[in-house]
Amino acid sequence: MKPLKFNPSVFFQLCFLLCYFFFCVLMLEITLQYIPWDTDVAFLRIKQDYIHLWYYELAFFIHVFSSFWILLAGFTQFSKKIRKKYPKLHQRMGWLYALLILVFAAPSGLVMGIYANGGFESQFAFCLLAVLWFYFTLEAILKIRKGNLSAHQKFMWRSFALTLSAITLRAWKYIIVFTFQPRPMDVYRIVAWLGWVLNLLLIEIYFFYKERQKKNFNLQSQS
Amino acid sequence: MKYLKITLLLFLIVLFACSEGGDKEEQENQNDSTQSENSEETSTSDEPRKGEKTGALGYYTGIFIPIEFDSQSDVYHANKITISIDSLDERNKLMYGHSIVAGNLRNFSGKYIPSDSGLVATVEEPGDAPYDGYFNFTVLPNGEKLVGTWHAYEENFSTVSTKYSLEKKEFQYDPDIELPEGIGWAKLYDAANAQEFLSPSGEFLTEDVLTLNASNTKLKTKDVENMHRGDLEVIRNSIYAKHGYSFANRKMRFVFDKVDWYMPVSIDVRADLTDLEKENIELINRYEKHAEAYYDSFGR
Repeated sequence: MKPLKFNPSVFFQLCFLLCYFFFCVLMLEITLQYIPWDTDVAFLRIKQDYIHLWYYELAFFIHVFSSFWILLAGFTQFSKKIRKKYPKLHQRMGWLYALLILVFAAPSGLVMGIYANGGFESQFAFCLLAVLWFYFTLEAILKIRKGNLSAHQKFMWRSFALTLSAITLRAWKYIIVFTFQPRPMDVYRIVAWLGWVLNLLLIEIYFFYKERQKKNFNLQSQS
Repeated sequence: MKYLKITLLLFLIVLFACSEGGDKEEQENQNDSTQSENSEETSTSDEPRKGEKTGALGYYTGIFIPIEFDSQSDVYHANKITISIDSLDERNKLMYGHSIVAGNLRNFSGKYIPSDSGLVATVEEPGDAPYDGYFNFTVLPNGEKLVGTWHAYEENFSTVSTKYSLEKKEFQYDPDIELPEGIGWAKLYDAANAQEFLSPSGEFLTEDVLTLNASNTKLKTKDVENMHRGDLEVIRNSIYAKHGYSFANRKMRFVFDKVDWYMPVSIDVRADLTDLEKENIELINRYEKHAEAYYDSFGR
């Protein structure tokens, strides 16, 4: 048996996983509020203007009940170990992740976005989020079908950045309310954008630096 | 059986007193319309104190100011009260009425002595509620004011005695009446942190509270969805306040007791609400409850 050594990267990974798990449990709690089927509870209490539309109700419950599984399927995909050791598992979870988004969560998200609270600003934000989410996930699948691994990775990171908005949006809301106590719909409009745009921006910045590193490395090796 | 008889007797007395009062008033009204010239004459010659009766009956509203109270139990003890003098038995010099304060309606009865300074009365509450007591008050001539004190039977109640000077006021429901401007930015009483109530932190009202009248306007989702919970709570409760509801809820008493037009006259106004008000209450309730559960939590 090897002696245990403190490895910062493993430590941060572990922290990240714990955080992720914690928020997934919170998301599961939110989901469980709607079991048994209830259209006058939690978020739906303030959606009474639209819940009578059958397609809104359908979209809402599809969205709520698929979200937890997407979060669960998603986080296994970025582990190098799983990809190397269990490529079949990676593929299967990948298909689950992609199908849940493409068939269920993204289209239902679009329907909900059209009827979102907070007027045009938040409706536009949520619709754009749904469309981009669908597009990134679809692109990622198409790229790997063609064998383009690096493009597949990039699009999956983008897709997952938007998946994470389920958590970051709610976390931002908590932080903003805690610090500023704004009006409820003002928070709603702010996090409708903040929740996913920042995630996407961070991942693009990450790509940018990685790209530059690669270029520098190439330049160095050439000279 | 004995109690039953007594209550029956009491009931009959009240009934008799009420019907007698009603009849006399009717007669007087008729007198007023048919022979207004003679009315003054009859009132002075027949019964020297006839005017005192009609003058004294009615609502008197004002603040019930604590004299002796338990300062540990709460930070604020004053409440708006309405004392209603319902009937007078002039033969036996008995007064019947009720008081409404802090969500409690208590009947009282007792003796009164007519004098030059008004009707001097000592009336008692039944004594079957823990906070019952007795009133000593004077109804000033023509019923301008009702001034006096109140003492609890039980000394261990948080408020032991109070004083008050109440103005005669008629109750009139007016859906168009607005909250006074000063109410915006008022502080909301927090029972959980009563001792820290006077500290700068805590829940405030905003000027939003003045923007909606839930008694004469049909509210839409758009009107209420971006409001703070405290404002919504006061807007919703202003419906009840207009109907003269006496709030058992300290937080709402603290807001409405300061409003000039507000007078507590009932402990259940559900039957008086208009359909519009009922719809608005339901809508506001939705957003209040949602805000209560989710405004500051992880979720939407």
